[in-house]
Amino acid sequence: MDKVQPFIRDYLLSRGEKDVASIEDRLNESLIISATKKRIKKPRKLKSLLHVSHGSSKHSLKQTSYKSVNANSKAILRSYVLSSKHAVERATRLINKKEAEGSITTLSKEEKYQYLKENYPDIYRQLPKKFTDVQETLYKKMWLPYIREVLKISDVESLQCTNLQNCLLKLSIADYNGCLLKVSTSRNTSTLNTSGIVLWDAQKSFIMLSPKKDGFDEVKVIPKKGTLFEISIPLETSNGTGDSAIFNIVGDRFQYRSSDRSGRKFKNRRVDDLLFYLSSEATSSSS
Amino acid sequence: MLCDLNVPFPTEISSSSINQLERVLITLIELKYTHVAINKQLTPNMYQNQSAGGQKNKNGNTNQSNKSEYDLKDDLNKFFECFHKLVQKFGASLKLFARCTVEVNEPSKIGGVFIAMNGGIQNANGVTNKFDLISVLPLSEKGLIYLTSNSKGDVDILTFDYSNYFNGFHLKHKTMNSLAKKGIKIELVYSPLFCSSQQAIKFIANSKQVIRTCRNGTNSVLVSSGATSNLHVRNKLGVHTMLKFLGLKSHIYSRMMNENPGLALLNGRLRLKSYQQVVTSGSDVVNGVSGIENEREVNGFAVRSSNKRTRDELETDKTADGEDINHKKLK
Repeated sequence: MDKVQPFIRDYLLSRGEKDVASIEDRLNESLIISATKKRIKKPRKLKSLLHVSHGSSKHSLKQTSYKSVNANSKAILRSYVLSSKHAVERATRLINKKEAEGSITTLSKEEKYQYLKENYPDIYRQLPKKFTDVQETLYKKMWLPYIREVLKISDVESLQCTNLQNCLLKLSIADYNGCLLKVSTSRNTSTLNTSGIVLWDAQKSFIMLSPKKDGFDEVKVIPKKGTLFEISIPLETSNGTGDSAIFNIVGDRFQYRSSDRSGRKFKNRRVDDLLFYLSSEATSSSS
Repeated sequence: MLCDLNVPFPTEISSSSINQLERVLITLIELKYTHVAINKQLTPNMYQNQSAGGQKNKNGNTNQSNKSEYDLKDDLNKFFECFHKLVQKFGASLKLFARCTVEVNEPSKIGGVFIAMNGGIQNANGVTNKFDLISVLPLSEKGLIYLTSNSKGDVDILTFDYSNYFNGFHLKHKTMNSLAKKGIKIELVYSPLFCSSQQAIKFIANSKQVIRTCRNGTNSVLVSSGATSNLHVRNKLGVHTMLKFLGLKSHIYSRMMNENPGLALLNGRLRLKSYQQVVTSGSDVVNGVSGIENEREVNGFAVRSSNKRTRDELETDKTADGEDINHKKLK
């Protein structure tokens, strides 16, 4: 900066100061980027506290190893299903053997459970819970009142003043643990008409406790794909005719975990994968 | 199940025209059809009139007085009245559905027709009637483009006027495939083939074009009659020979007759009877509660009653464990 530029001389130096260096300093000073006083605003203590606490609670809820936890839960469920299956197999084999030997006469379902409890408590402990017990507690005491409250359905008269679409929407985001489901139509015909109480609502299957006539109740895993599940909600009636409202879940459109399902927006899709629905109807109507 | 999803409803309701319609239905019963949809066609004049008064003056210079007298809601209520009479008459042997075809000429003037059709039409007694199937008949290329871009799953079927040449538009693979991906089925109406030779020529040209653009139409094309006279209806074998004459192979035309109409019907019924195809009410969506014993409908809900007689019958059946629990629970 040997030469004083004409711009500086004419406009800036004319204001009293003849020295070029002081002007330079002044220019440089203004070029420093610093925050103004207004901007440096200390966050209020309360707010910051709240912020921290919120973050920490989030942190505590967050699963650090979500994948491994998920895999573990899968493994635990699997082991539970398998162990209960083995226990049922062992128990039935044992009872059959005893009957063949002639040490016991043919027993009813209740007596079989009682016999095992008295003589083989270790096998009895591994068996899944009795269907009737689960039905009494999980289904009748917990799920039915819950769903009636959600849908606001109690008797046939109450159906008159409820909106169907609203009801279906609520059913799509409801909780199905403890619900009694029945497979009404399925691509896999061996699962047809099996029913049971839902123990776990997995992403792609329902794990159900299904009753067995003259045998031990079993835990069954029924895939949602290609299956229609029927829910029947019993309605209170005065004259004793057992009326119930019938709903069906389309398994193909229901393949979400229950936690994801609650905030989900479902969409209509192409129905080509639901062809089994039609073919099963055709067979049922012809038969 | 054998479906015929297009039996046109007469534009003017009179005893002779209703007679003609009944004759077609009786013929269809004889030909062993099970599911039949009765089609109410809406021309652009019918619904544009309802939306705004300003457009009326622009469009109709010819017979304005007639147009202003026309009432869409009233007309549709009359249609449903006739439809319910037909259901009572033929309900035992035929499952009847209400279908609505909207002719689309200018997409900007559609307004809320589709929403109104899906929402249902309320009559004087406060009962809302809903269409089971909704289809679109584009009169210009704009109408077709509207369908590809804007419709949000509220249309089941795309149909064309096969007795005239498509004026000013040419079908493309791209548009038809995007429609097929959405699940909209494309309809082939075969009655022009039997009307006059001129119409037959046009039908062949048009249908060949449609089949070509739908890549042989395995997944997307369905066949229906569109017959105004009972002589224009054909049975399964007759339709098969006709489609073979158009150069299709057997596995394709059997799909066109059996599966695709059923899927269109399922799509339409699921829109009515379910929430986004996830949860449905009642066990049989397509046929409703009429086909099942012990079931009745209360305000749209399917209610199953189990009285003593049927319970005893079912217990003797002993088909599966599941049914026993059902009864236990109901007790």
